[in-house]
Amino acid sequence: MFSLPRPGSTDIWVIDFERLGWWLYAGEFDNLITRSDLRRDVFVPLSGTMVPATSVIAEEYIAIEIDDPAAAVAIRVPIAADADV
Amino acid sequence: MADWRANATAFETALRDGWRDHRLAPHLFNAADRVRKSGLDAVRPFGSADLLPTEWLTSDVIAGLDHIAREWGREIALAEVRELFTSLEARSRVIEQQGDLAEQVREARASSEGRSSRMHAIFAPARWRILRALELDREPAPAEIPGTPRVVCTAGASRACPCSLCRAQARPTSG
Repeated sequence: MFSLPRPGSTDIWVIDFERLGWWLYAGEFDNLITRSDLRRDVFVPLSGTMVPATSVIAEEYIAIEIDDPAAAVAIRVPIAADADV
Repeated sequence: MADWRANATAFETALRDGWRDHRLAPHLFNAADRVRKSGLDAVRPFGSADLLPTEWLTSDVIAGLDHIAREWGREIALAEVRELFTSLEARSRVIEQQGDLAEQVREARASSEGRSSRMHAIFAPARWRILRALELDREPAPAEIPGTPRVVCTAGASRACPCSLCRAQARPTSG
């Protein structure tokens, strides 16, 4: 069982991963591709003034292929979004 | 002035570490032997981009930059799980709670599992009412991050798993 921070969600998901489908990836399974570029033409606010920016990109190449939707069931628990924890 | 390239590389490394430390969805598929390498035509880019003040990466010491990078990586890892739920919400059965929650979760597990499934996972919001209904409120507070599971329920009703669902399944039957 995993507890996940999903703001506002009250769903409990029960999933059989052996039936559900596939995690597809290109490249390496455990590799996030990152890139930083020093930009001299783009500015961002810092302490009230605009300063040059560095752009950072982080991405992977994936897809989730669902073969059997019946392998997952959600139970929606009626709890107000602003209630408790 | 610190070297921009060196700091940018350190930032990217921390970002990847934060992502790697908090990934969950692909590892669950992997545990079920349901991970497949594919060509670029079958996948899509998944991640995010942002702009940082360059002077953050050219100053000798910027407090919290490592934390910012790790949190960014963690957000991408959490987004993987959200992507899974978004896929499922459109296609799988969503039922309203009626009656005993633990019993309903047991029924959901029975209805969703295959004949020889070994890789079941239950995702629950970290809410006290729900944890109490599943008799998990007596355990230490649940981890808020997906990379550190509090309890892993196995479909085979592991005796090592303390959650009420597994305890019920592992209970010896009489007669």
